[in-house]
This record gives sequence, structure tokens and C-alpha cells, in this order.
Amino acid sequence: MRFVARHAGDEIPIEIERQGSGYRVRVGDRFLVADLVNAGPYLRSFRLEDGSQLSLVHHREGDAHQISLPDSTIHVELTDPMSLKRRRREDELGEGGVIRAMMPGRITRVLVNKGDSVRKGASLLVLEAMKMENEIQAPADGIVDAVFVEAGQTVEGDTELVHLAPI
Amino acid sequence: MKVLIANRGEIAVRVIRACRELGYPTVAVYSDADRAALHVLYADQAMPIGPPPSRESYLRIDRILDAARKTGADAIHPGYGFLAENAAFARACRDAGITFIGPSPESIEAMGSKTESRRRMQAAGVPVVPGLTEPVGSFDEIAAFAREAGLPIMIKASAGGGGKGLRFVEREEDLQAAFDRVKSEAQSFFGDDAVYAEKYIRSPRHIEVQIIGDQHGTIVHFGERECTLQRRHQKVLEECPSPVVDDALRQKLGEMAVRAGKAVNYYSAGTIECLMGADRQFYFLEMNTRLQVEHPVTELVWGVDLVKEQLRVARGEKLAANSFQPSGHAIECRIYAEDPARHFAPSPGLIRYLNLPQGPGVRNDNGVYAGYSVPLFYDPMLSKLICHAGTRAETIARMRRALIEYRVEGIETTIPFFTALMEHPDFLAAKFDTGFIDRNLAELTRERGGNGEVEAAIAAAAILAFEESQQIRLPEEGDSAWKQAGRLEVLKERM
Repeated sequence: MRFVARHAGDEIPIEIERQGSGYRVRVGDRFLVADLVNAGPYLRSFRLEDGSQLSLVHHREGDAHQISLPDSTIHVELTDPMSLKRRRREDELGEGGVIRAMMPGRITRVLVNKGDSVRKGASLLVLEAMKMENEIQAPADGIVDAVFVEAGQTVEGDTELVHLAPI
Repeated sequence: MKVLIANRGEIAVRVIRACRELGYPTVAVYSDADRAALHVLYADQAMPIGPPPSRESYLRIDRILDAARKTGADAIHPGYGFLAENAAFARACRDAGITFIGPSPESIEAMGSKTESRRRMQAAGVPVVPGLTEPVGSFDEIAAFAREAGLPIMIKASAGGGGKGLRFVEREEDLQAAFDRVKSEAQSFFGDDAVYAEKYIRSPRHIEVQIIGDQHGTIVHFGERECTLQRRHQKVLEECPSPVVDDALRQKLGEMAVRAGKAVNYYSAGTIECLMGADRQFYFLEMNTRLQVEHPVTELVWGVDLVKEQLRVARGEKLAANSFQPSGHAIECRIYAEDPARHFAPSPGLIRYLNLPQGPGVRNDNGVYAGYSVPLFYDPMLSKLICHAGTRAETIARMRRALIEYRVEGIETTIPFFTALMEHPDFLAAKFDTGFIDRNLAELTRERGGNGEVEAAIAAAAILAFEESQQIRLPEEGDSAWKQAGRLEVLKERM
């Protein structure tokens, strides 16, 4: 079976097939022979042919995989080559000027109104989470098209907060 | 004694453990956000005290006392933070006939005021940072102070703050110009040209001394803790003993701390915080009239249970004075729900997977569990990891080992930051001051992980995605195991 892995901006072709009780995996131009077993919820033990063992915690949301090693966390998206083409077309449209909450929290202040024009870096709102105030800034120059939240409101991570239209 | 713990998280769990070992029943209190928090699960009884925001729950003296009344608790342990250094709370407990497990309201008050505590410490012969407590009338007073205390000094606007209206002066000939500048800045920024001066402590370390006193006038000390490693004035790692304090200095620090405690008739556990210059001169900063977050490093090295001592002292028992001797070295890492790679942004949310380190010399003062959702209303500290070994080097090696075992998934934590810190040559050599972390932040928060590991991780993800794509075609549960195995074999052959 084939996948395309997207990791840190790179696209890496993956090919995978069974070999004995394990697998033979091509990652880019490298071949790894490994087996993988469940070690309880989320925990997996990954073992290479030479015996090197990595205990890793795996979490998946759709195509997005998060693999946590003792020292680091690796985010990788695995898609089959067909759906990747569709994804590319969607990316070209982009997210536009949608500004989202980077974490769950409470909106303590809304500093802009619909119709305001803002410069890149201008503060749009203040999001408080865990005793810390976080200013949310304009990623680029723009005009405030819509404000979706109000002061005092509690928001989940990734909630749409403000929409900026290009000037 | 039945003990209500007016706190949450790891410290509430810590206090419950001490109570249970002494045979005292415990009562937890919780806000609406904490019904399923670990301290509630550990307590014998638990009472709600209001909505999530602290000021409507954990800071509500009336509701906490009401919970004590309803459950028949006759003692309250405040933990740290929240109401721990609130004299009004200690007094309200006293008035309600409840034992406050901490010092007297009078001691809390005396140490709570910066000017009052400084005055009392000076009277007791405790060194304070040399400085003018009153604004100066003329330049001559500043010049006289600089001669007496020695340069460098800081000239500060009395109404100042936020880094404005202050000047560092190293040479005598710069004094006049700095004085004029601060005076005019003070006038234009704060509308008040009053200025004063303070001795500047170069490359300071933050050293604190643990004391405990009983209600019969005995106070003993348990040596010092090194708390120099801070970020934004918040401690991140503490050790005991300090790598720069020898037996002679420890004796001096201990005597000073006992004197400070006696000056305010202190009983229960308390901490004298000091600044120490490169010349190892130390100066009183403030006293924390409560149990400290970092008390476990002292407990491991001195073989004492400070919470149990607090409970004994609160009952009026006498201290078994001076039977404790320090042994080995201990380090504590504060594990926060913060993302070091994103400027320590808070990272609340669901903990999917948790593996706490174990094995020789490892202690977890933990307040969370797998399946628990970290709320965004409170301090982001999840847990404290404390390691103890014979020497500082062995303790650091043990901490590195424990950090590898420590896994928290679902939210980001400061574990990678501590892993980097344990490898930093200046940390290993104990060469640091209070500015160390801020100066080395980029190095300490760099993303880790070698290239080989990335490939292995991608391969692992691919295997899992592959297996999952196969399982979709697997029969429903309930089919016979034989049938399932048979179909699985067929699928395998197809690949």
C-alpha cells in the first residue's frame, strides 16, 4: 500500500508491505524493517530489525498522526495519493483571513470593531487562559470583516474569532 | 482531628496523604470545574464551594468555613497560594474555633507587609538589601548612601514600575547625571519626582531557608534550597542543598532564618527567601508564611515530612528538635501544562495518556491522571517530579532518566524544556544566576528529535494507518474468534 507523508513541509512517498510478522516500510529512499505492537491504550512498541526499540504514543485525528517519542513529538499527515490531489486544490483557496483561537480560554477584551482597518501585528483581542493573557494579533494588514466573539465569552481551541478581509 | 484542605491539585493530594498516614479523616473542597479532580477522588469527603473562577470558590472564606461546619472538620490546611497567606482567613478560622494549620494571623500580617517585615528584620539583626527606605531630599543623600553601601547601586523612582524610572550606576562620576535623569523621568512618567536608592546585587542567586516552629517557642531550620532558576520571576526548578552553600554558610543562613522567625513569634512551616550575591553575602527578601511548592526537596534530603510536622505543631505538640541530618541531593522539576516551543503558552485540555516515572529515588507529587481534562481556570502546574540521590551529579542523571519515562500526551508540557536543561553545561556546573533561563531560552526550548527518529515515527504511523485500513474490513465483534482469524489470514494473503 502507498501513502504520501507530509512532515515539516516535505512530501515523502511511503510504501508498506507485510514481511513475516512485521512490515517492510519505504520512507523516501530508505527502507525500514520493523514490527509494531500495542502496549495498552495509545502506547505502541516499535522495533527495528537490528533490535532498536522505541516506545511511542500514537494519536490519530483523521489523516493527522501524532507520534510522541520520549524526547520529541512528530506530526505527520498520511494520505493516499488520490485524496492528496483533492487537498491541494482546497489549499489554494486557503483559510483567507480567518483568525482562530490558538487554545481554549476566555476572551477578556475585544479591541477591534467590524469595519476597522488594522496593520499587521495590531492587537485584535485578548484571550486569557490559565492566568495568562495572550494578545491575538493581525497576521497581515486588513479590514475587520466580522468579529465572532465578545468579551467574557469562553471559547474552545480553534474557534473562529475574527475575519480579516484584504485591503 | 478532621482536616479540610482549602486547596486543589497536587498540594491538596499531598496534604491528604500526610493526613491519611496520621489517621486523620480528610475533606476536599472543589469548584464546579473540579468535581472529577484528583484531590476530590482521594479525599474521604468532598464539598462543592462554587463556580470555577477562584474568587467565587477557592478564595471564598465563608463557603470554605461552611463546608468545614457541615462536615465537622475541626482543622483547615490552606496548602500554598489561594488563602494560604491571608491573615483574615487564619483569623476567621480561629474565630470559628477551627485550627488553622499554619502560623498565627499576627505572624502572617507582620511578614505580609514589605516595610513592616523589613523593619522587624533589621531590628532582629537580619541583613536586608541595603537601601534608603525613604525618598531622598537631595543629591548629597544619594552620594552618601553610595559611599556607605558601595557601588553599584540602583537609583529608583518611588512611584516607578515596569522597568521605567530606574538607573544602574557603577561609577561615582555617573551618580549626579543618573540622579538628575531618574528625577526627571519620575516627574514625567509618574508625576512624582521622589527617588530612592538601593544596593545592586550583581548576578544574584535566590536561596531560601526552611524553618519550622512549634507553639512553645522552638524554631529549627532544615537548611537551604537553591531556587535561582526562574522564568518571569517564577521558580521552575529547585534543589537542596544549594551547590554554592557549604556547611559554614548553611549554619549562618540557618541561624539567620531562626532569628527572623523568632522576630515574628513564628510557628508552623515557613521559608525565609534571600538574595545572595557572587560574594556569598545574603540579604533577606521576604518570608513565605506557608508550605512552599518546593518543600519536597528538603523532605527528601532531611528525611522529614513537613506536612506531618505542620499537623503536629498545629495540635500544640512540641517539635522533636534537631534530630534531623541532611543526606544526598534532591532536585525538583515543576511540570506545567505549557508549551515551551510556543513561548510557554498555556496548554489546557484532555490528558489522553500519562506515564509517571518510577524507580529508585523518584517521587511524583502529582495532581492529574489519564482521562483528566486540565481546566483553564487555575495555575497550570500539573505535577512536581522530584529526584533524590547521593550527589548532585547522580541526581541529575536520575532526573534525566525519569524525564525519559515521563509521558504526558494530549497536552503540551514543560518536560522537553527540563530535558534540555539537564544537558546544559552551565546547569551541570551549577554556574547560573536568576537571569540564566531568560538568557538561554532559545537553546532550552529548541525542538528536539533526530532524523532517524523522525523516519521511524513516520514508518510507525504508516504501519498504524495501514493496519487500520485493513481492520475496516474486519467482521463485527461477536463473530467467532476462529472466523475472525480465518478472515484475517485471507486478508494477509491478499497483501
